[in-house]
Amino acid sequence: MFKRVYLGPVANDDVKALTDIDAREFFMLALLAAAVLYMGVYPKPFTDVMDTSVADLLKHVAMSKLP
Amino acid sequence: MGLLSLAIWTPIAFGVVLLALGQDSQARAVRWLALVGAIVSFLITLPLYAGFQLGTSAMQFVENTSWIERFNVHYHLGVDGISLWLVLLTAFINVIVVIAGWEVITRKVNQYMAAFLILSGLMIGVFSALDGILFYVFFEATLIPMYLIIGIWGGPNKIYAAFKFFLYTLLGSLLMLIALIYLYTASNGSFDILTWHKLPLSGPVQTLLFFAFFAAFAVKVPMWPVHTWLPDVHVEAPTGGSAVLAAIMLKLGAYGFLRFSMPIAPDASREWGMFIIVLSLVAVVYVGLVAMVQQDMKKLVAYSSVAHMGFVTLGFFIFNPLGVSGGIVQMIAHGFVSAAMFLSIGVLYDRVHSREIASYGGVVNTMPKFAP
Repeated sequence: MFKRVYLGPVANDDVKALTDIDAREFFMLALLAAAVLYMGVYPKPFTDVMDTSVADLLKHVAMSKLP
Repeated sequence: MGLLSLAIWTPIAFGVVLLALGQDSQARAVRWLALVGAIVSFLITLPLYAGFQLGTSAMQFVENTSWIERFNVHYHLGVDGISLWLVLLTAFINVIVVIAGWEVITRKVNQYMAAFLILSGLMIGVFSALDGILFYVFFEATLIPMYLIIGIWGGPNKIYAAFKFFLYTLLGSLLMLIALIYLYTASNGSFDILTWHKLPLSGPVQTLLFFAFFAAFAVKVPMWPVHTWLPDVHVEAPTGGSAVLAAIMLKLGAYGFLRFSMPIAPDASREWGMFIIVLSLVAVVYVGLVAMVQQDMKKLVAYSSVAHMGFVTLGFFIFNPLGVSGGIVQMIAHGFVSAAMFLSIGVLYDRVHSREIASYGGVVNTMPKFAP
């Protein structure tokens, strides 16, 4: 999809008339991109928070609850 | 007032205030107030992370007061390692979405912004609720602003999509309500989720409860084959609505599996885990292939969301710490990524008003900053 939409020659008049993103849109997309990249490169804050609860949940699931 | 209550009710309060600013002439004030409200609500959630204690799986920032005494329903909130990031994700996406709707929405701006702020507060409520009825109320209440967002500011087929969304998810949840009421009687009059976690239940009962919860959460996630509402809704929803829907509302379902299905019915979960795994794999592979042949960009991303959430449920039901942690990380990451994807599509759509891939080509020539 990326190739068809973005790359290659300008396909039609609509595309010719497109204006590039303004500061507002850039800012919000940049914010999201930064969050994704940060999470991918340094997931430790996320996994640290999750680890104990996840381990506890799985311990709980492994035990049978049948009376 | 506890921090979690503040996190829930602040955006809702801002939203209600915004509803009072009805005139179009006040649109500028409305947008700025909505942005301030969203940012303030996000800042309130940051101390939750700062004050969160690692190394314990107990609930933190707990608040517990009696609400409906007759049925022993409590206003019981708390976060643990599983829900903390979801709360922060919700507040963060809310800020992004307010910025996203800045110029595009010109009709009834105050109601649009109010709907998102209220929705954000309600979703934080879902993630932090520790009482069955409180959870159910928040869970269902999120449908109302979402229905309005799709139905008022959506595309040409919006009423059909909004209605389909509402009915599909509501019907799934009704079975969950029955399960909640059953658990109330089985636990001798308690709606406390943590009590239910420890409650011994027989095999057949667990299986029934598992499938009742499954009905509600599988539709919400959405899992194959009850995923068909998502592409229709995404196509018709406004950009911000799609972003919130994909980024957070889908996670409500996955969170439900972790908070309800697995701890309350562990034997049934283990027994039927393979069933969920198979459904998840079908979602990943088959729906992934379906996504590739789409002509409509939003439908493509919608189907890919189903596939991504398939990874989440797959990770959960392998019952391995890496799998579950991976599933939760994927939930958060997918929240950011799908929001970004839908917003990017929105950027293109706002200019050309077409979502067909064939309408575009060579965008990099005229929009060099956007393409990367």
